[in-house]
Amino acid sequence: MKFEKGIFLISGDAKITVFSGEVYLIGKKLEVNEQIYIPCGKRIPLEVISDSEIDIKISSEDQIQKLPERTIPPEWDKVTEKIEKEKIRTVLVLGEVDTGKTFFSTYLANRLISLNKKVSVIDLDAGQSDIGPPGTLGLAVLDKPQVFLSEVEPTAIYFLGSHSPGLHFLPSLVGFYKLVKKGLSLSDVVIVDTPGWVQGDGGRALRRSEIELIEPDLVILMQRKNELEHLVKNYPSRKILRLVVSKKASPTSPEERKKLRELLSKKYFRDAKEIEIEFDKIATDRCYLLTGEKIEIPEFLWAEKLSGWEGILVVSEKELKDNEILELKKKLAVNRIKNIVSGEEIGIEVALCDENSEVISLAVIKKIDYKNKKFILHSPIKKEDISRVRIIQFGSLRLTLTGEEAGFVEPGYF
Amino acid sequence: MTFKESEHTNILEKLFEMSKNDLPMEKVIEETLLLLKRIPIYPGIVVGCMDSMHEKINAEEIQPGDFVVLYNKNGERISGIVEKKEKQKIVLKNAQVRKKSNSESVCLDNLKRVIRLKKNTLEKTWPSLVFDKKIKI
Repeated sequence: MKFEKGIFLISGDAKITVFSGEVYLIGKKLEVNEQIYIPCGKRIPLEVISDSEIDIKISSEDQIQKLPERTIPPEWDKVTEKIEKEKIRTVLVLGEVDTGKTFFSTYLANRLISLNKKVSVIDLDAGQSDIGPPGTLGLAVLDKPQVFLSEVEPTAIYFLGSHSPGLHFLPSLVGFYKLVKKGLSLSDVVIVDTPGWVQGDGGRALRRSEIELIEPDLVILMQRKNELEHLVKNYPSRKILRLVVSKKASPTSPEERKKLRELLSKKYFRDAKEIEIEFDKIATDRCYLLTGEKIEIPEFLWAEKLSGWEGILVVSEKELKDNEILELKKKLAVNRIKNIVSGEEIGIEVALCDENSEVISLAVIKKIDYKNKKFILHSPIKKEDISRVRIIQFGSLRLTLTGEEAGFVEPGYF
Repeated sequence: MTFKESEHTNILEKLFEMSKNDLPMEKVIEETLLLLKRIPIYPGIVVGCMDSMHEKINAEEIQPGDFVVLYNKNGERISGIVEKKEKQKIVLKNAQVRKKSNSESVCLDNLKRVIRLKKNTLEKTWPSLVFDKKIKI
């Protein structure tokens, strides 16, 4: 199909192949014969700079819409110039949900790469992860322009263990800091794409802490009106840039978000296999289990003495009744019994980490075999990496073995 | 001034707000806890769900198996699970009847248990956290 110079909005499912001409997608120049797939639910402006021959495979003609003007505002290109001129290294992109933060971050990264900059993008949205599977924060060091960050192999991921930073503020900030540090060591510019939680106690606390923690060289506010101003009232104005949200930014419903998450989780666990890891080969993290001193209490599957006033942890076949707990407290002379019921571990998503707490792979717990002292896991970890696993980090999500969402674990239960 | 890092306290405030509507709070708390067990990492969504935890209906709409709260003209609140529904009456199982009264005389001979609610628990358990209401500067 011949395309004249202009802007065309392409709605997925669509497959684009350029045969001739100069064509850009999100600031990435498409190579001749390069095939780009736009998934269902995504709408991307195709910028045809010169008359081109392009094949677009679509199921309905409505999926191509000619636009009267460029949807990418000229201010976006000025950001690139500013970063280049002022040697900016850290860029924090803030905006409410569905304001096109990821689109902008990708565009900015592509433009900087075209100026021979090495660019890292950090994705802090564990609910709508583009870099890394859902439940994680991701870092991607880009060596070439990209249309979709979800197609990039993450350089590093940090396990949040939840789709939302709510009740996970500390790991959320630790992960953010660690990924920024890593990104700075591997690239010239780090772009941080933040989640859309910008209001209320949680939104204010997190976004403000992120700004305070890394003091970004540039904070970009993608706002419809002035909904983000409260976050930067006490930040130097020379480090703030305000961009207007594109009218083409479209909302995604919670159902669509869940569907997208599940698609990504299914893709991640597609080649997963059963593996076994013995208790004495690893340490656990973000849980009480296996952090105490093992003790023998014959009526329980597992028991350990926890630190100080934390008392005794016991794993039982059934939940202990109030009177049983009372008796046990008396018998063991402790004030607190932490009762874990065997089987409650099924489906918990965990991260398998090396000795430096770097995530090697995620896994789903199939069973904890207390008798034989081992974890039975379902994980896409490479065979050669299993011996590097030193830490199992517990998360708050449950998944089926095929990556469907299956509920939550109460924080602190394990 | 700082920010709340959890919305759990909003659940408590919502429960207090609901208690003013003369609802059987034991049941409301039980339902709230069940919700929280299902989505423990989203206390804010639990608060959002609590608003639709009860609805005003007509007597004709009552169905067997429903947990209902009935307010009669004598000022009584009767709650329980509908076991049977007939033309002019319904039968509740595990029913609770509560009557509000501004003044009530109770015969002491007939008491089984007496409990008094205390207000000075903080003073007794953690006195270092007790402060004067007015700051003297």
